[in-house]
Amino acid sequence: MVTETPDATPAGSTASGEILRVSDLTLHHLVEDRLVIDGAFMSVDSGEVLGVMGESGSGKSALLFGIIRLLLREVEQRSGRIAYRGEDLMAKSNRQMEQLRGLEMAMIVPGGKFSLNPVETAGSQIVDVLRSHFPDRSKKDLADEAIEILRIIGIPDPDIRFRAYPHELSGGMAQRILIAKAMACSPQLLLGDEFTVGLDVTIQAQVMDHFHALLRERNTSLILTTSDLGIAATYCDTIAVIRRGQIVEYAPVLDFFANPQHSYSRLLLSAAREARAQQKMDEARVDVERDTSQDRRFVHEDLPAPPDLYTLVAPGHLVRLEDE
Amino acid sequence: MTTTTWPAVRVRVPRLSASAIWAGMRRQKLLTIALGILAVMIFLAAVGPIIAPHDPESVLRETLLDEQGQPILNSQGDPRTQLVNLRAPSGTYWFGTDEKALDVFSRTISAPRVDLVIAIASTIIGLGAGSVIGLVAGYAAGRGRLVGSLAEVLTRFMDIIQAFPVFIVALALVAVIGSGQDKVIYVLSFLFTPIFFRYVRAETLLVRELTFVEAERAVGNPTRRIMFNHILPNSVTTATVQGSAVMGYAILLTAGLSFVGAGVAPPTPEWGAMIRSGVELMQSGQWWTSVFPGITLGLTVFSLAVIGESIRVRWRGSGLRGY
Repeated sequence: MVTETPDATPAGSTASGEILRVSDLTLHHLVEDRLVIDGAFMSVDSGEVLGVMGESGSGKSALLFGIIRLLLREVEQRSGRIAYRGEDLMAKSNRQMEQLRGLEMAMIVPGGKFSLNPVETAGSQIVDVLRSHFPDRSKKDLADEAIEILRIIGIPDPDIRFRAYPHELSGGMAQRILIAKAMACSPQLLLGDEFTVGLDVTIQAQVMDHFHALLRERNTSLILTTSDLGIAATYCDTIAVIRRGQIVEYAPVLDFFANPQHSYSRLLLSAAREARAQQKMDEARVDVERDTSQDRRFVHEDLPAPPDLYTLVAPGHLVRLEDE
Repeated sequence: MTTTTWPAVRVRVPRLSASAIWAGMRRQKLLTIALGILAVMIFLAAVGPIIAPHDPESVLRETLLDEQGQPILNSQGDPRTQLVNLRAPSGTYWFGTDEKALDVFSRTISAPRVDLVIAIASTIIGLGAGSVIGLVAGYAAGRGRLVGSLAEVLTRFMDIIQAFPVFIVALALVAVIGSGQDKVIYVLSFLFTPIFFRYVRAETLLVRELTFVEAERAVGNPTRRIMFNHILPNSVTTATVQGSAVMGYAILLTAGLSFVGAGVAPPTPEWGAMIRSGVELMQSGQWWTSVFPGITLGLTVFSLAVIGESIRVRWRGSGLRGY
């Protein structure tokens, strides 16, 4: 039951507008005959970082692919409304979606060099993305812009990396190229699919710090799937925990770590402790606490969740009723 | 953030020096010979008819004169004429002359312009057409009922073309559209398209599922760009490797068609037609009209086979398998 709370507007809540609103998204896998995503909902403001947490196979990636509308052939959408800046994405044709991808929303995929075309230089792959959306501009012009993008992403020697083939890049560098490709046309919404997995911890922190600062600077939103509590605590504004395709808890990051309500969320946090990530978690907590002064809080008062399945425990903090 | 600056280490990339090339040639003698033969043939295709000591297409006047300088009548029934026209290899006519009093050496070195051009053109056209159709068929396979079925129909059509013996189909097609250098190019291109189609389609089916393709789509590349800029360059390698072998096959087919009189007609210099013209003469001892073009043809096909095999070995185990 969603109970109306009178003190609806906490201090620190920003008035930046909603950029993405997803409600009742249900994806059905035809071959395995199960729901990969079951009634997912979310609301993302511009500049917000939403962390989607869950174990592997819980549907984190499927959720992102569902939002950007790149479903596997075996997956069909049963229901759902995806509104990007008020526009209904479900009503858009494939061609319109192709226009939208890259320009308005783009996905950062994991896998480093394995997610890059092996026979094309890093630079020309970025130029390709730019050319898809700005066909009238000259190649020279776009190449200059691509080098500029590489520089902004924080890649040393952008001129040299521009001409490098994926196999000549390190894992961290290749992952930064993937970020550069997604950010090439300055989309307002980025979908990051566990893209720091596989990088070692120091590189991961380096990449994420720079990337996060860039998001702040451009007021770009990010939906980030991760199973890393440290990343979730450090960089996300809001956390959604997903299990078996269902969102079980949706909360502002501080509320979530201070006061996890769903048994699965607690399990997830304790599992991390057992995995000797306690220290990291404490660090992450310290990070969060340190950042709060300048942190913008995103508290969603009107999450499009079905009221008969979710309880509102605090402003913007929803917990799914436990059925077992 | 402070960054440590490391001294730059320059990796030495071995330069392509004359001694390196020489060492490579000593290591791969057979390949060197094959490349040498092919180079000579390409050179002849470019300048053969120009450097030929005699006109490859017109009758040598001096062979039509007898020892006293009197003209010998070239009438059909005169048995003397053919025998006089046929001159054994000598200092003047290195490979001798054939029964029509044409210089065999001049014709042999002029033929690459016909044979090699047919082989190269038909292979390139076949590779181009096969790649594009293969890419489309591979990309469309299994996508949607209509598009997927069209791709399937296309694939089966290619299977049907390949189900027939190549030489018989080539003969039949030449019979329909007529003979001549350009017609032979069309026919061979048509017959080679399924070969390259298969390779590119198979590779496309593999490449389209790789993560980077999904990644390209997720950052906003449209389908057309994904197909031609990202999938095609990754799926065309195997087909290209086959190019050299197919080219050798093309020369054999061209010669074969002309041998049975369906390809390029005399007096255009062409190895197959030249070999044909000397077949009966072999029995009466005038071996040179067939043997010299035959050896040249054999050497050319051999060199292309060696080059093709060498490329194939080099590519084996590389390419996209690691991805």
